[in-house]
Amino acid sequence: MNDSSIKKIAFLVLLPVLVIGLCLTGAGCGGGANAVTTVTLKPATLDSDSVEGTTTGGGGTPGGNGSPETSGPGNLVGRFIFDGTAPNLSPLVAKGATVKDAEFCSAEAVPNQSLLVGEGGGIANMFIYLDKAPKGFKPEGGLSELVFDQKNCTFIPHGLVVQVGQTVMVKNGDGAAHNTNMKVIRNKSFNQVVNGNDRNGVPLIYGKPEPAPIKATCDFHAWMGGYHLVVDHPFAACTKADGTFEINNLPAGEYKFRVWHESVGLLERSLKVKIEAGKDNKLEQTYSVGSFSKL
Amino acid sequence: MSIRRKSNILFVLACGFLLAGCDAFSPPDAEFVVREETDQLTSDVSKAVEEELESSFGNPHQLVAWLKLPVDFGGVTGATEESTLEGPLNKFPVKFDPEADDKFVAQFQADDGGFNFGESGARLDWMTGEYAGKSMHVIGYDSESQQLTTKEKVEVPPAAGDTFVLSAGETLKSGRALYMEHCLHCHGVSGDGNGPTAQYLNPRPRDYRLGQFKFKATKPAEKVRQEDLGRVIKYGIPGTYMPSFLLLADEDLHAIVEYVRWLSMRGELEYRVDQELVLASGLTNEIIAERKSDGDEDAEIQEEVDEAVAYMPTMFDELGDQLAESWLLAEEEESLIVPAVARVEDSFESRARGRKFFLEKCTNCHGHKGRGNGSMTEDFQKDEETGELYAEPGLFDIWGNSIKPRNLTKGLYRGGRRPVDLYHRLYGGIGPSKMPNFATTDPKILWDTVNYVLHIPFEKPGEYTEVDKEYFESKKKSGGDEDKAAEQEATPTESEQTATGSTESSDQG
Repeated sequence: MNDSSIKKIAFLVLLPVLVIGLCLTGAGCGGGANAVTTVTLKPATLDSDSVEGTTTGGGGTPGGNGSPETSGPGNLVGRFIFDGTAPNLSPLVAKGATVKDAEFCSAEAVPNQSLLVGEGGGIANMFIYLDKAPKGFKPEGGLSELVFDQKNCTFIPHGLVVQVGQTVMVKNGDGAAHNTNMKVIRNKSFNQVVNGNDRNGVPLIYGKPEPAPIKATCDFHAWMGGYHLVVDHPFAACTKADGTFEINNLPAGEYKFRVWHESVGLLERSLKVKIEAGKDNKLEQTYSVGSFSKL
Repeated sequence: MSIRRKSNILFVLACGFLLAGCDAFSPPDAEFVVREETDQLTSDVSKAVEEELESSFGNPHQLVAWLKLPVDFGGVTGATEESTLEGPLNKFPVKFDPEADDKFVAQFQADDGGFNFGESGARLDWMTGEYAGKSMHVIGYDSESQQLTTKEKVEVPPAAGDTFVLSAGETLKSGRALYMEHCLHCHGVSGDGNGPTAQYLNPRPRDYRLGQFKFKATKPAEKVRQEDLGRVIKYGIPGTYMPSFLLLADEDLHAIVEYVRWLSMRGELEYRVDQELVLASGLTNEIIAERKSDGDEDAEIQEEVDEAVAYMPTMFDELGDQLAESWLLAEEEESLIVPAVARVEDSFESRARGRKFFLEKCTNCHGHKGRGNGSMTEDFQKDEETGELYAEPGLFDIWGNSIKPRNLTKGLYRGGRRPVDLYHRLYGGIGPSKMPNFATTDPKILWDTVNYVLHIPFEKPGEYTEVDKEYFESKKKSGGDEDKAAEQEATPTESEQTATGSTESSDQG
């Protein structure tokens, strides 16, 4: 190639490059760091006209649950029954297995409690609760202290109902330390080492109700699991080993209860129950294996 | 036509196409990413969430400074003084807030000593008083009488003490521009850690939208402080792709920190709103379809949807308050981790105590030699969200990334290599990475452990053999078989004992 054609080619290549360069800087190529931005201010407090409904302790939609009447309180007494053969779940940790802190954790087999069916088919550890306090409910003080213990690397009790502001003493009955970690949703995190044989315990107090039961875990022993249902009213229960529960002093009226089990989540989102004053209102629900389809 | 002419014509055509193309193919406007969970909500509700987010935070080109949030949005704050002038008037005697005085001068004073407010004037937003919520434009300032002149005239002068912000949002705008320039390509427009380069990086860039950060000097349950974020930006994170930005000017660093906090607040607000709407109200397409097939009435469900939509501004207001509270709490003294005792002097005895603590608490993840190969890296962990085991063995952080415990033999400390940084990691743990906190441990033991850890890269083979033997013997006395395997691992092999100072050996690497 001769001199002038090299020059031509160079010229033809360089100028488009220059044009691209001009293009990018000049036209600004839309958005990016050099674009013009505006800032508008939004006031810190909401206009009173746009405030809708009354709020509850933890967020979520407003209003209370149910339509309580003034005829006095009644009780809700019931049972959850499993229809079918109870599943035979193998233990989470076999007796004598080689695990961390085996001296405490595999001295006994650690049972799999994800679906416990007692004598006569009662389903244990089923939570039944109102998702919001009844309209006009005012919490009274004087909540007793609860105990959440750890023994043989298992949480005791497996399911616990806790009210907002109630003190739960997290104790340790094993010689090895546990790291109790609550999988909170609305509350502040609780992630604490509880030393071996701590019979005084570490206090745990929830400031807000949780929208569903939350899991208790141990960061040192991954198989450990338990559940806390945190509510801002006393109208919640966890069934005993025989599947029975009791919720007392509910103002008479119609309510929508939630029923929750760890193996499947919400079994009932709005189970309609009518509470009549001055009596034990009975509730018996049966669930078959199909409802626990996750297992 | 000669070749020369043809090529000239072609060239002109090419330029024309390029110029036209530049306009037609300018990049799309930047947008904030919508969370997957928001998308899964039923359409009325998800639209309401997106609209409320837009009205509270704006989009990357039209920002909204929500004054509820504890973010320094910038601008010069001040209040009016007693005015004897009568309307209609456009001169207001003012006094700027003490910190704002310098800002005002820096931003608006011209070289000749006068004040320049730009062609259309600087925006003045009234915060309180008669004109609260209204904006004017400042076109002049008289330093003798300390009076601002505005374009607009008013009949009634504002009362003394009415507060205003001049040129509000300057810091936010500046932070945005700097973020777009320096941070966006990894951390993404929304701070979701998913920028264009993120897919090539391991570890991935931080996703700010859960409001949790790893390297902070605050107690375990508290949020990160502005200073902690500033340190990370200034010094980078060794061992990752996060570079150091030491050359940034102080006010630029501050603007970026505020913008990152703002993005984090936006992200966390959307996250918490989604949690409420999914867990408390159950308004996702999936749950609603399930309810309909179970026999729930359409009208009842629609009522709940309408209720949630109407309640959205209040929900944002409440959650915004909670967020503001937690970010402000992080800046308080009570949230800061301050070692209760001064650092224990580094000595073999101190490190031996640290080694004992390490054997007791740390080896499950960090391994018996601190190589990050503890037994938990081989176990299958459970995903808390789904309840299922992860497909791969090992640990996962809260963002779902597969992570490994730190290999302490390398001497690379991501959160900072000062002894107090390591103290913060031990006392506070690293929540997002599931590293437990040792807030209740004796601070002297924590310092011993810091001393031990800092020395690991320089450890001689067999240095702690006696210490380990003692520890395992005391454990044997109280029982425990599984530590036999651990004991064997901790005892140096023959080849190790004769090695000449190399920390690499033939056993687990």
